[in-house]
Amino acid sequence: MELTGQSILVVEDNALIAMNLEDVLRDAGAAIAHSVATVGEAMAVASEAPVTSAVLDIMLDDEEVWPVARILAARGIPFVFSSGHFEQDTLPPEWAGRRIVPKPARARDVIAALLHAIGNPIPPR
Amino acid sequence: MLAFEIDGIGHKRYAGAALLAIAGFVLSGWMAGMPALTTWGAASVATSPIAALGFAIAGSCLVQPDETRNRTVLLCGALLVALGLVDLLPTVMMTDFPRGGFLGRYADARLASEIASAAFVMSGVSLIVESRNVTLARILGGLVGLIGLLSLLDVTVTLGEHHLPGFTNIALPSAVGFLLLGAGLVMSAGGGFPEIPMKAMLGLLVIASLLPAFVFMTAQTQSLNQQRLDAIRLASANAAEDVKSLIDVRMSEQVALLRGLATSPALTASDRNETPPAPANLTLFYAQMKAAVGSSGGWIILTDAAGNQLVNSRRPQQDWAGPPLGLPTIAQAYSEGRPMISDLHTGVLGDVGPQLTVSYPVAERNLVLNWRSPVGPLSAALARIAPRGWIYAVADRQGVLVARGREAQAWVGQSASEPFRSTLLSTPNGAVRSVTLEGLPVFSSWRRLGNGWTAVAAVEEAVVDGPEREQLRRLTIGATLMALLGLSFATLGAVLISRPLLKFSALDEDRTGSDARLGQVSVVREINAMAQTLIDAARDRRRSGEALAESEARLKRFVDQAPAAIAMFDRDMRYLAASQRWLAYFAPDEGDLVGRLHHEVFPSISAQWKEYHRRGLAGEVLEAENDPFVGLNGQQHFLRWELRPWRTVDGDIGGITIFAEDVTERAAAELALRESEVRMKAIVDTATDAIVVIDESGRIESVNGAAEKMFGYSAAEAVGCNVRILMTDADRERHGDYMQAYRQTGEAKIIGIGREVIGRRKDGTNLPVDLSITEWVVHGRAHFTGIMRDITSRKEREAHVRLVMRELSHRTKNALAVVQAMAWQTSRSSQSVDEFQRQFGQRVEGLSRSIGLLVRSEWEGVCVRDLVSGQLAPFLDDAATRLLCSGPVVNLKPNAAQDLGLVLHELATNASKYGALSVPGGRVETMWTSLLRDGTKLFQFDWKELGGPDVVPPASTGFGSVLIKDLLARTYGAEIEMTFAAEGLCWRFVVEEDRMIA
Repeated sequence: MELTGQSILVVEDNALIAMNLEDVLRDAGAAIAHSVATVGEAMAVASEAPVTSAVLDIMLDDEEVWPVARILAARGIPFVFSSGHFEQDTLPPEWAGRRIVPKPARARDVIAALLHAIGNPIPPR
Repeated sequence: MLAFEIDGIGHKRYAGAALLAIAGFVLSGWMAGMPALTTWGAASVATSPIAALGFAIAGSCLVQPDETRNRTVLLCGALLVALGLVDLLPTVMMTDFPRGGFLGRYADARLASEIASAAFVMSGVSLIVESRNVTLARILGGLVGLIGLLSLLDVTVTLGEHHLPGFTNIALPSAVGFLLLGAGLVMSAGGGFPEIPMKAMLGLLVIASLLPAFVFMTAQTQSLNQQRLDAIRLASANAAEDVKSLIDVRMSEQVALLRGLATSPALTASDRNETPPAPANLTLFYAQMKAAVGSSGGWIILTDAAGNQLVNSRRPQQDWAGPPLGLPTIAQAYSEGRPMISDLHTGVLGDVGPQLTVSYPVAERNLVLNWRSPVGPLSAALARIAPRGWIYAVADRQGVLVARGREAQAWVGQSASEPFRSTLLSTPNGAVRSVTLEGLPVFSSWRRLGNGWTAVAAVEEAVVDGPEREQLRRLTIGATLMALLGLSFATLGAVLISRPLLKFSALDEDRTGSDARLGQVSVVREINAMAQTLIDAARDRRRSGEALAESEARLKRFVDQAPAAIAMFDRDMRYLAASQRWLAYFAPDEGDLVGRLHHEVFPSISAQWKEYHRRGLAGEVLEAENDPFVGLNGQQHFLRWELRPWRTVDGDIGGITIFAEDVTERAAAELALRESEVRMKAIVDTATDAIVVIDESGRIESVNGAAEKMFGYSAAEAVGCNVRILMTDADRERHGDYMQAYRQTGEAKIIGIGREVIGRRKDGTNLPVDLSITEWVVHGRAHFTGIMRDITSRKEREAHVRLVMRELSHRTKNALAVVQAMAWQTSRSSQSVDEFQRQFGQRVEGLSRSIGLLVRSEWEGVCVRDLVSGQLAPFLDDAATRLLCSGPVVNLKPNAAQDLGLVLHELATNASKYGALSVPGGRVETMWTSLLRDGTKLFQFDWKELGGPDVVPPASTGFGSVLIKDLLARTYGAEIEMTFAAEGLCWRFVVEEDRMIA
């Protein structure tokens, strides 16, 4: 179980995808610390919750997830992006080095990306 | 060159001025009575105020310059004629007019007055006709001058008694006046001196130079001769005295002898009254007489007082008494008691020639002693004492020649020649020119003797005038020779001067063509200089003449071949020139028009055109464009013509020129062009694209309406500005470089290509335009037309498409992600592949139905009613009765519509499986509404099943149930309330409105 011990924050506005993602992560041994659909909720969770890693959908009902990502980055919590809009090469330069998992994604791609993020932590600036 | 005028204008004014001076002089002379003026000639005319008036009139006329003289010349002429006639007529009409006319002052000046009057009349006539008949005027002027000349000659040259009648009385001032008047008139007539050949002029010069000397010599000669004449006058007087003395002596000798005889006692001794004396005494006395007579050649006769002979010494003794003597002097001597001499008489016997008798009375006796002697000895004595050329003579009381020193036999006894005899007898002493009996002209002087005889001394004129005549002859010959010599030299000089001068006029053109100097043509330096000047002038003239001819020929060719119909007319509308095109237009069959009248060439010319001609000749300029004109071929043409007067050098209108041009084709072309322009302008103006025309420098020349709208500048504002005002700052700089590069290299970056650029409106906002530029060149100048299309909307559409594509990608990916999740979840809850396939298929179908609705709304959102009816449609065969929808028209956000669509699908699936839709008559009611709770707008949706089978809560929590319970809650924070009421399932969610509703 690759993600055993991980307490993961899922930020995804589409409930169906969120559920699916949660199932994938749980099947990989991880615990779903939180699963939120809006930037506001996500920021509240990201700044305090004891999460070890996170999967962030970028477009959240017309809002972009960057504030949440910045909080997580500041906390040194590894995370990966998930998006139907962006791809690795269109990601804003601020997030160079972060992995993005394009939608639709295979389960193992999500897990691999997350593991890579966890395994190659980027120190907070 | 010659600084003086060679015409008479100046000179005749001098003559006029001099005349005025003379008039004043004459007048003042009259007023002062100036006797000095009368010393030459009788001078009557000189001092006449009327002559002064005449000279004043003539002088004031002549002295005026020609410009003002014309008005007064007739008046002056008339005044002079009147003046002359007033003075002339009375003397001519009335022979006993008291004075010599008004011009004369004395009666003896009558002829002079008439001459002067005639001179003034002629002067007046000359002035009157001077502009009509120059010849007559000059002749009259010449006559006046001749009168002056003759008067002058009479005064100055002619001396003594050789005067011209009449002219003598015209004195020097008047003579000079008439001379000047004549010269002035000759000059005045015809405006100057008559032309005189060079030879005549030089001849006149010679004569003029010789004349004073000749006159002086003549005068000097005459003066000398006058002295000689005076001397001869004196000599002749002396000679007459000599003759007188001779006669006196002879007479006194005879008287003395007779006195002695008278005392003879032979006479006195007898009785006093005895007559005759006694014969004895007579015999004695006869002897005494014989003795007394001696050889004297005469004889003595004693007579009584009656003349009866008593004793005659010539007769023989005793026959001494002859016939009585018929001499009156005997009785006279006796009665007066003194000796008397008889006139010439012949003897009683006639045997002796002419005789003289001296009678001496014997005192106190009736006796007279008579000494009778022939006159021959006396003539001989006279001949002896007379010098050569002189004739001494003695005439008796009757003027009969008693003795004559020359040819006495022929002339003694004859009366002296008349009228000399009368003069002789009437004047005791004198001198006169006369003619002798034999016809010799002589100068005679005479002295009366005491006895009444006259002693005459005549000298032949040949003797007196001979030297003078000889001198005059020599002088004349000499002067003539001198004059001839002078004339010869003058002629030679004239030839020397005139021949080269004449040669000038025949100078060959070849000589004038070269620049070589002519060299010496004459010995006269001035002539050589003049020759060179003339040759230079002739050469210049020939060159300019050639240039002029060439210019004229060129001008003629120019007119002839001018590419326009041109004609030039004089004031009579006679052709002076016409171009070939003129002929071709109007008179192709007429040939040369020059010299012909326009109205003759075109007899049918309209009154309108005649009026144009008249106005043109009056100085007006007329022109017309597109004047209709029916041509020779009968077709309608249009002419552009212009008619204007042309002027001579003096500025007078010399005629008119007409220019005409057939503009028929051009008029048609212009019409077509105008139509084309109008059409083009209409197109441009109504074009939706902005059209801007600029010139090479970028200056805007025109903009159309669309451009005005597009950029916000009015045409008036934009035209003239640089096209940069329509550009952004970045483009402005590039535009300058671009234009420069294009001008230098011709390399186009936009022209003919077109590109999208950013334009700038007047308000500073930008707009994207599609710009295409074309270049066109007119009259060598490039112009650029820019056509711009506002592509804002296209750009927006393109952006939208890009956005949609991106959105499509995103949504597709999202949808696929949802489908993937759906497949995943469905597969987890499926018992079999068949079940998975069925459930998954239905869910995908539901999803696609929601997406279909979204696409139909262009992803803007989906109306709740449409979503409900759309999702339930597959499960309803009669939607109208089994589905009730009630609620306001509200649109769901796309994601919300998708998610609610999924939930509705699951609800409908359940209802069709287990609920109200699983049995006939079952119904579903959906209700939605907005409501307000605690200040928050909420959206509430109810799903209520009716008429279905008994409700049994579902046992399993499959994927469908998860969706129904959790999906909206998780995603939108909705409150889900689900009750399994007896009549059917009730499902409600309440959500913050702005989370789901658009």
